[in-house]
Amino acid sequence: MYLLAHLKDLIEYKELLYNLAKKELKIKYKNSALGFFWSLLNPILTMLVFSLVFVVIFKFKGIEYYSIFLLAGLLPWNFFNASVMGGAGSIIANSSLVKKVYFPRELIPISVALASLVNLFLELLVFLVFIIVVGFLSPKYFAVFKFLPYLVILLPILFLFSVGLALLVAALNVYLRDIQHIITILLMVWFYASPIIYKIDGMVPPKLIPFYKLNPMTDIILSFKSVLYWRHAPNLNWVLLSLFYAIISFLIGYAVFLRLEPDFAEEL
Amino acid sequence: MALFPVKGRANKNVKGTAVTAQGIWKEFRVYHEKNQSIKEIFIKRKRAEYETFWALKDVSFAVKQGITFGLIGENGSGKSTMLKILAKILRANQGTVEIKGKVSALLELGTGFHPELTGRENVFLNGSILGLSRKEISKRFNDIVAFSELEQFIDSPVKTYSSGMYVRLGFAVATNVDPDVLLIDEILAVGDEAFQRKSLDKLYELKKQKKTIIVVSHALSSIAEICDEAIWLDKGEIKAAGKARKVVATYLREVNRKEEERSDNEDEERLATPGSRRGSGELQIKSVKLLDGRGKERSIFKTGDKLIFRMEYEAKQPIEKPIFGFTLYTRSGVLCIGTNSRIFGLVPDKLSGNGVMEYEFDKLPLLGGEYELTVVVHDITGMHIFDSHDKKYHFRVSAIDNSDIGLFKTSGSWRMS
Ligand SMILES: Nc1ncnc2c1ncn2[C@@H]1O[C@H](COP(=O)(O)OP(=O)(O)O)[C@@H](O)[C@H]1O
Ligand SMILES: [Mg+2]
Repeated sequence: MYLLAHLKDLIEYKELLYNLAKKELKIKYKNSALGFFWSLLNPILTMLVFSLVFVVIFKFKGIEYYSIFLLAGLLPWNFFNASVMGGAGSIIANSSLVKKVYFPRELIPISVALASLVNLFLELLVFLVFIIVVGFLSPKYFAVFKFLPYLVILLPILFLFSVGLALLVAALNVYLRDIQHIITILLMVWFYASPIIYKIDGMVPPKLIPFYKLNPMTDIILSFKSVLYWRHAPNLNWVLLSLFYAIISFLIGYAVFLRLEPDFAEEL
Repeated sequence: MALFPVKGRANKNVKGTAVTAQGIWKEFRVYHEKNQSIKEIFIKRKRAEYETFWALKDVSFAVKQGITFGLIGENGSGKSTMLKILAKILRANQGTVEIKGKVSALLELGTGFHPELTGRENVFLNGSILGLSRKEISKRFNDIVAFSELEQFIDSPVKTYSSGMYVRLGFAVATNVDPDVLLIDEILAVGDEAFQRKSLDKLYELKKQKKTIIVVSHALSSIAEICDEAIWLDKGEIKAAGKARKVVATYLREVNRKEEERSDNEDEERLATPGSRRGSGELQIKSVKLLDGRGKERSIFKTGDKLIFRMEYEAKQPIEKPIFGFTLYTRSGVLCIGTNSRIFGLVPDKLSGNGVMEYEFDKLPLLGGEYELTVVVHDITGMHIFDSHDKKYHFRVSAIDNSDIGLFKTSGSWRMS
């Protein structure tokens, strides 16, 4: 109830949320006209490196159009990664505001996630251009477009999950400043523990598969891959489980944040 | 001393109350050691070592709609802390704050600007923090820029601004976003004089528009002028509350009393401050005392007070026609007065042994400030110095409220014809 009342307040601050997100994007891309282009470079390079390793060096043939397969998981992961990493340092990065003016502080990590969301949309656009190119070689990939509407469900779930975790680490990082560094390492491990660069069936030893069910990112990544690579609707169980994890993450993250928030100004 | 009974709870039900603070307690931690990383906590096995102290103790007050309300008190008395609690930046340990309407705050040195954003972007960001839409901010934008006089710099990042520019823009934003309640901390302590004047005018304008304003300031005379009501905070407690003029007067009386007390303790030390001394020494000034009207030694005086420089001398041999003189300088070295006994017409034929020479200001003409005194004794030509204590003595004239500015009190008068 308490959370709901807060959420309602947030709607009144939509103008501020917009300005804060714009500010995040601006600072991220400042001093470079090619700012956004550089941010695209990250997924493209990651894609090239993994494609090189898997396809050229390991001569891995099990996944056709590995680059699409990879991007289908990498794009949502990058959004998650950017929201959590950006969220972790966000309160400190905005201390000049936090110490001087009042507004609901949760807007700060949320605005960071929104800025990452804008990035994700732009990356998805580039991804779709890529799909069109591939589609001329292998027309079945045009079907990706048919399943795109599923993103309307998947993106909010991904957003909710990411924001929940971002709120949690944002608040904790005010008190323990090296959370940021620990997060970096944890996220790297988490990345390899999620089925982004590989498939689960046929590649993960059966004994390990139960652990994947415990990884909250597994189902959301698999759902994105269903839509963007396999061209079919995501498994309903995956979607529901992701939604469950997202709600848990959001509730815990928000509750912890609201508890710690009133003393931020004193800690900064 | 008249103290107003204010310890009771603020009356919440007063009609048209814009701001109510009720039983506010605020405790700060003063850290000896603060571990802000997991690594440190792991190594040192504790998060922090600290003492606590209460910055605010049961502070209650109510501000009626449309009133200009002052918070006064010495440094460290908790004024800024109180304002931050009103602005929801800090959380009180106990007590409640209720504010009706939109609050705009200009806390210690400037509003919340993001250093990487330009002035323009910060204006829009701040506007939206205060709940204004883009359109509403656009409408006010020109006024804000014009008021801050930052036309040329509005598209530069604010991290390139000087602190004066920062404050100008902060003030312009805070006062132009149409707040219901305006909180201002020490605004009149920064910026150039012209801008201070302008800020004060703006506050008067808002006051006329019946905005509720709460100001914290050291510039007591301006507080007394603009404020309708005030409270005096002393070490986190309300010491007086009521009509601003009365509270300021009470406060000033207490400050002066304290200064005098302190000066009683400091006098010996102050007067013993070594300065350079030169002269041939046949005639020596053994001691110099600064006395008030009752013959008591002091180092702090008020404009208009009686002040006596009392010089005890010792002549090792008979000295013909010695001249005693003194010069007064401000701390920054401006010569204020230089005079001697010959100019006055007092030239003793011969001095020998011990004696006393005094100079008396019936009404000290100096205005508030720190002054340094040089005393000298020389022969009638002024060429031969027997003894001279250069800027060896210091005293302060405490600023009185509602006074002239400059170095000297005028003795002129105003007339209409
Ligand atoms: N964040 C803080 N941590 C610890 N002590 C503080 C903090 N902020 C203020 N104080 C202390 O609280 C007291 C009141 O400070 P303040 O409200 O700034 O006084 P004022 O504005 O009246 O000069 C001072 O002793 C100050 O040192
Ligand atoms: Mg202060």
